[in-house]
Amino acid sequence: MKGKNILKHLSSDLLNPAFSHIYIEKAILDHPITTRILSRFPISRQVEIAHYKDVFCRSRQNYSLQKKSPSLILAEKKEHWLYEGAAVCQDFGYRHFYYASLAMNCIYDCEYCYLQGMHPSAHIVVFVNLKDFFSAVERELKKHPVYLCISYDTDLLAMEAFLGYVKEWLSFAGRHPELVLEIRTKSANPKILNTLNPQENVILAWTLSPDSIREKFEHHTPSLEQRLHCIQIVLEKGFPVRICFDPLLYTKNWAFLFQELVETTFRMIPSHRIKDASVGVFRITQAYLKRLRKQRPNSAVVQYPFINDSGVCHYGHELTERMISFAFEQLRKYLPEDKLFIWKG
Amino acid sequence: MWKVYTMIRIFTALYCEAQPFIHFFGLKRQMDIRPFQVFCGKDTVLTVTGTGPVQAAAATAYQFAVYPPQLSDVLINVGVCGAKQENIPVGTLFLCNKINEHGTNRSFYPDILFRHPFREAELTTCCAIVNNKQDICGLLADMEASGIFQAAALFLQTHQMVFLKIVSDHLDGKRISQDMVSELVNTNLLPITNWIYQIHGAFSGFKKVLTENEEQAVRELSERLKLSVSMENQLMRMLKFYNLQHGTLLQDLNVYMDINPPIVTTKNEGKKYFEALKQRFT
Repeated sequence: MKGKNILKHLSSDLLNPAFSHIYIEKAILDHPITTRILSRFPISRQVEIAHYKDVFCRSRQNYSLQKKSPSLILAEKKEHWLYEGAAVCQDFGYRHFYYASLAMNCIYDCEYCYLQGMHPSAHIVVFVNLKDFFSAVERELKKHPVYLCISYDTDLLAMEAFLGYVKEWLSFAGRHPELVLEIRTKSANPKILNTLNPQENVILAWTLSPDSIREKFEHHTPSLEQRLHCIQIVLEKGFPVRICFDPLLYTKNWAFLFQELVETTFRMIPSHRIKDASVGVFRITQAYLKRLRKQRPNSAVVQYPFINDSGVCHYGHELTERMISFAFEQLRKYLPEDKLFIWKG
Repeated sequence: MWKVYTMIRIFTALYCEAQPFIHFFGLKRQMDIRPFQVFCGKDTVLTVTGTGPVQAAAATAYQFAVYPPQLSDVLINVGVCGAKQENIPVGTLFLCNKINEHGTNRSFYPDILFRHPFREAELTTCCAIVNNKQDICGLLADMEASGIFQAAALFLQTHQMVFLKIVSDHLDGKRISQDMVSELVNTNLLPITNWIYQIHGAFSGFKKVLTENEEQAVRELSERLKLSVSMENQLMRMLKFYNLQHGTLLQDLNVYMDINPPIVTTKNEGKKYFEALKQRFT
């Protein structure tokens, strides 16, 4: 019997609330960030662990069930503070493109998310040694300017209320003008955004999706309107803003949905105030897709019969080209070509 | 041997720990199973493992060999244990969130995803009776949990394993009678069984993308089209996707085949028809 989906109909009141359990590496029990985070979850049960992988990398974990009741794991990252930008990621024209994994997994539950293929667990790991990340960036900055995405394998803004990392990165970026940061999110928390001080070199990037796609595939994420409202707030504050129509998903009426999405977006957001926009059709490595399909046997978005092109699965050249051309055509109505970054594979 | 479907799998070290569950679930001894005492009911299997982690691991693996695992199974290890702190009353029931193995210093973590009414604690499994409290990490000590966890982890997912321990002593070397052990388990029987039923009931409700009929129809179509195994897999995936999007696979497939009857005599004709299907159903 297949069935990560076996518990699909599980009544949520049978499950523990998110972060009912917090696993903490022994070495960072007294770390100030650990203390700060734990103070936000006074009733969570704390379990001491030797290494985060003892919990995160156990074999035979149920990803989709964990997504409904995620635990938090606090850990120390000992190496690989910065990774070079992956080939399937948009570099927006920056030469020295890196990303940092300050946390793994996020609080949202998007059916198409590549993290399901990447990680064996849906529990959320947060690395508390933020200063080591800063030092690693400073080492790179001595050699050349750096374009750094800090919210790829997670959604830092969605967790800002208890992490406070975005605020710290903003302050770090303020001291290092040769650093450009991108913080990508699907969150919508005006209260948090109002506490952030804008930096010219920190781009806040919102992933936007039509509401019908969000309802079907992006569980627990804020609505399009809420996300757009937050973009309005940060534009007012003076943040550079990027909008990401990525991944563009193939569904029955994708063209209509995309057109409507673009129209709604630019009805609420003045296009000239947007720094740039990116578009990319859903693509994923073969290995990740295999795991994702096992985790989500009933998800239309991952069960599409993709074309495997040297280990990268996509909708096929013809359909991809059709979707990209259409998206480009729609966005060109509002944005000049030099502000559009299209992922062509 | 009884045929058991989705299972509640109970493991106890001693018969006196098992007795209250045997009575409660109305389990019958399986006389054809020799190495361990195994008791079965409609949806419950109980194995008395014997004491010590090696015995416990062997008994666990044996049960899984006899009754193959399913994603809807729940494993419960119930038994008495020692508590380090004198102020923990005898009879207190704990759910273990961390199991240390005394001999190897390894630790194991069952995934505690379900709400429960119990207190939680860390447990250390030892190979022999422990009288020195300093040897114990965490609050509790037993002799089986780490063996059961390691054996069961080969068959079940981390959230399917539950370790419930009832304090019977304070690691002071006092002997406890079998009747006293049964009594301690009996006192905690209802909270345990109520909770087991609650979470086990939640494990049902699995819905496949294609029904047996739909899968059979796709296989028959593949045969008629003389498709290779790989193409049949592609066809199955494509039609699953269609059904997830529209939910009307059989109806639409039949309409399509009425209009375009799949008259195929060669593999090439089959391929052409397959390509046409692709156009229509993706």
